[in-house]
Amino acid sequence: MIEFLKTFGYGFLYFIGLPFICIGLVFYGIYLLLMFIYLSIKGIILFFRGKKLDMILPEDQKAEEIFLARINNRDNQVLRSQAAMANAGVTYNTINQFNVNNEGDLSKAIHQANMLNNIDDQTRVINNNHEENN
Amino acid sequence: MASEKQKLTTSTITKIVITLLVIVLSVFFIFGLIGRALQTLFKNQARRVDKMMSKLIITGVVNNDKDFTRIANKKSQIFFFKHSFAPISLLLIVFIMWVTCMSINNWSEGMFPLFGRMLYPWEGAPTYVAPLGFDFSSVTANYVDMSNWFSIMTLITILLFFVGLIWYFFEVGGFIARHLRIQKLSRTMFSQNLDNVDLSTFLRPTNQEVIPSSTITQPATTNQIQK
Repeated sequence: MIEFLKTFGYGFLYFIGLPFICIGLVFYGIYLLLMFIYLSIKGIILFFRGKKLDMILPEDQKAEEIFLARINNRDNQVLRSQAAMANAGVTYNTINQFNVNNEGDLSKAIHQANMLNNIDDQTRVINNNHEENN
Repeated sequence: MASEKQKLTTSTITKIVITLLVIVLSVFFIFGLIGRALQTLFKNQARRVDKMMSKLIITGVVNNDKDFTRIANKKSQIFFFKHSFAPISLLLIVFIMWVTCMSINNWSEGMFPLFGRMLYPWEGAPTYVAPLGFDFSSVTANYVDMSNWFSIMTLITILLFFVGLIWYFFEVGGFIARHLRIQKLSRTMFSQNLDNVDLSTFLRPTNQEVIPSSTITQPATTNQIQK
């Protein structure tokens, strides 16, 4: 019922304001048509200069570089932390625990250790393996 | 007889008023539905500003309202230019078609009056007879000959004209919606209004940062109370 009254109220407002909306749209339409003509001429001039009228501005290129640098930095941090965990004794322990004979098994072991979401759990697994083997 | 006429008039007037009220309410409701649909469409158009500017905000390339407004308006103008290319080209084609057809027809008959005759193929208006009657005796047929090439071209041209016009004004509405969104975002995102900010969170450090968990005292036990 409230939605019906809301729609009815909006309809009443739009009905009353329709002439003003139309006048505003016409003026804006003429202004944007002139802007379209100006951008068309600008586009033609840029075309003959070998450039393009594009939405990708120099600021966008700068933002893209920063964005990619951040992603690379984050990926490097993740790889470094994984390598650090692998070097912390998992190699020795996983070799003893999982009978690792080649690299494929070692990477599987590291992957299994990394499957645990909590770093504390991973540390506990590594420490337990170290104690059992000792 | 007079009382009968009075009764008839009162009840008929009531019926007329109710009928008109229903028509008016329906018209307002239809306007409301169309308006709400257009509102949703233009809201989606306005959200494009968020898509255009999000990476620049996240990376910190844009960090003040002036730059935000300048870059967002530039992008919005180029977006309008690319998207209004089709309707404006259509309107240009329609204009060329109109000039060509009118010149071949020696400018004898206008396309718009001919299209009006297609929508209302009669001459003369019906006369009103009280209370709810109409007299159609003065109305004569004025059909358009659709086998004529000019009539067919008129129909095609006028329909394409309305399609192009509505499409163009839809893009104009989208530009206005984006412009309003840009103004709102530049006001809200870069405002230095501290009304909704609780400054005490910055002044008071949290327990986790200052007091290590091992030194947090346990709640008093029964033994401690006895002591």
